[in-house]
Amino acid sequence: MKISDVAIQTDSVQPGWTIRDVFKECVKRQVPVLPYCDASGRLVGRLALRHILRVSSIPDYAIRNAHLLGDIGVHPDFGEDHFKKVLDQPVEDFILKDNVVVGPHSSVQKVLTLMEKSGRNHALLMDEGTYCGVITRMAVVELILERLG
Amino acid sequence: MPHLTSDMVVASLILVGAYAVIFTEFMARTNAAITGAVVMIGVGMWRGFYSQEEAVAAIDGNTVFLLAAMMMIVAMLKPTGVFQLVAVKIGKMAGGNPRLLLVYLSLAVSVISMILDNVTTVLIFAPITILITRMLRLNPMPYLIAEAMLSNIGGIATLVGDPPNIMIGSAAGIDFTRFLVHMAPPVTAIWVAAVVTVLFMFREELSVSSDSQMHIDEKQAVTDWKAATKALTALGVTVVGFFLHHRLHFSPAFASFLGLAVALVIVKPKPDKLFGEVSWSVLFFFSGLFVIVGGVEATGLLAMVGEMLARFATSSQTMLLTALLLMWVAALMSAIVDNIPFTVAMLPILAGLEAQGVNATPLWWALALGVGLGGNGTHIGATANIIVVAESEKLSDPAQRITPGLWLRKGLPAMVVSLAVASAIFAAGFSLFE
Repeated sequence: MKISDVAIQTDSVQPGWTIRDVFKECVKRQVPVLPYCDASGRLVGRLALRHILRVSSIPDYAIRNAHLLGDIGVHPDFGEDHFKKVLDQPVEDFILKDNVVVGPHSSVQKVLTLMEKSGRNHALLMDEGTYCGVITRMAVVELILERLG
Repeated sequence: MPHLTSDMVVASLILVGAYAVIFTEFMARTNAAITGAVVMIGVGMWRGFYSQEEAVAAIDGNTVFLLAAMMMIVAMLKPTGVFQLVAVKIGKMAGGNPRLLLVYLSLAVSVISMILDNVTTVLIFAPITILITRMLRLNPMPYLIAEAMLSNIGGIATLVGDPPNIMIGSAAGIDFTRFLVHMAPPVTAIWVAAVVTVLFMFREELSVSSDSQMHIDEKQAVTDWKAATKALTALGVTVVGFFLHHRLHFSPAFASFLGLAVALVIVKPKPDKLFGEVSWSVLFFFSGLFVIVGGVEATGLLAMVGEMLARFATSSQTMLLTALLLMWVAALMSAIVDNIPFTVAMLPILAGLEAQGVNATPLWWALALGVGLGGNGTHIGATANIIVVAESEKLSDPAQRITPGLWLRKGLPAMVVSLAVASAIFAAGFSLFE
């Protein structure tokens, strides 16, 4: 079993998608990220759930005082009402250009090391310029268990 | 009377060049100060008016070491969350009254800024202020501006509240208690005037009462009570040291190192992490400026300026006029450009004046008030202002953001009112400042 066997196949985000479409695809495939390809199918960047939620809905001042937030109470700057506005936004404002890309024959060590260096839980699997799927840390663990029992 | 020499002209040109680069931000200010210092020493050695030894001696060790020690004590205190606890308690005390909230928060930052530097105070208070005000569905903008301005004002009251004060105290030989005794009364009056002005300037924003609940759990604020107690103990030792330093014949820098030593022993911070928290660029900036101005001083130019001033400030009336003029010029300069280079350049001039037998004491106080209050006039006048502007720029609602124009409309009147109050007090009680 190789790294490409545990890659999760997803649609790639295309121009015209909204954040709602991204959320739906991520939930359906259980992945934290989707690749963004331009009209010609070339990989341009990625849409990461963490980044979308962070930029759109979690203010900096709240993060720095997160431990102080009470369990109840609705905050005017984030919360469900705020998420509603985000869902219909186009994806273009949230594209990240720094992709962690691995090949179908990349070793587990290389994949894990790249994830660790970039501080991410995922990598994009590319084979000769074609997007093949998302590799999550969970998928890597699945591969380790498969190999070592 | 000594005449202008070519060394004086050359040294002045180097100073003007370095200051121009700093003020225009053509280069990062620390880079400019270090480069200017190197040029001054090199040219000074070549022409024979300045030596490497004199350059090192020109750096005010008291200022640099005091700042370094305070930075390290603050670095140990900051993560404990005690200031967040204070802010949340205050927020709850105000009971949703926007004006009371502004007064309480302003008072807290002013008092803390008397001991800790304004930048740290505002860095801690700004995010928690936004959280409190947004939970109460209030516009955080007036609170952020008020906190920066009143942090700047609070810092004027003590020898260690603001870097210019440390420099002034060091150059003039003013101890912590004497500084506090002379500056606390005018600063209290200025504080009241500034708060009233801010309340008036933001009367519309502050007229909306909040019935929203502040769901903030202050019990979570202090993350480590043991560490907080230890860091506060070290700070307490430092403050006691400040009050006693002149009686025990040690410098304010040594007092701060006394507190730091206590902190190092009881908090046991990791050196790499602790030293990483020191703003070395600030310390090198100050050192560079001292070396540059030291070069000009070595040519005798600043003593000559002091001598010229001495001829003008011969009577009590002319001294009062000179002091008021210095206060306003210092304020205007500080509103437009960094107040540190201006202060560093003024130190040897006033010291030169004293060397002529003139009692320059009122001028030291006027300088401290001017450079301290001037920073409130514009959004770039003080680092604390820049911090709250940056915090506000992260807010999604444009009505909550602080623009340069907004600061000018609200801050400049507050600065003028503060300066007017300071001038009135200065003139009325001039004998106390002599």
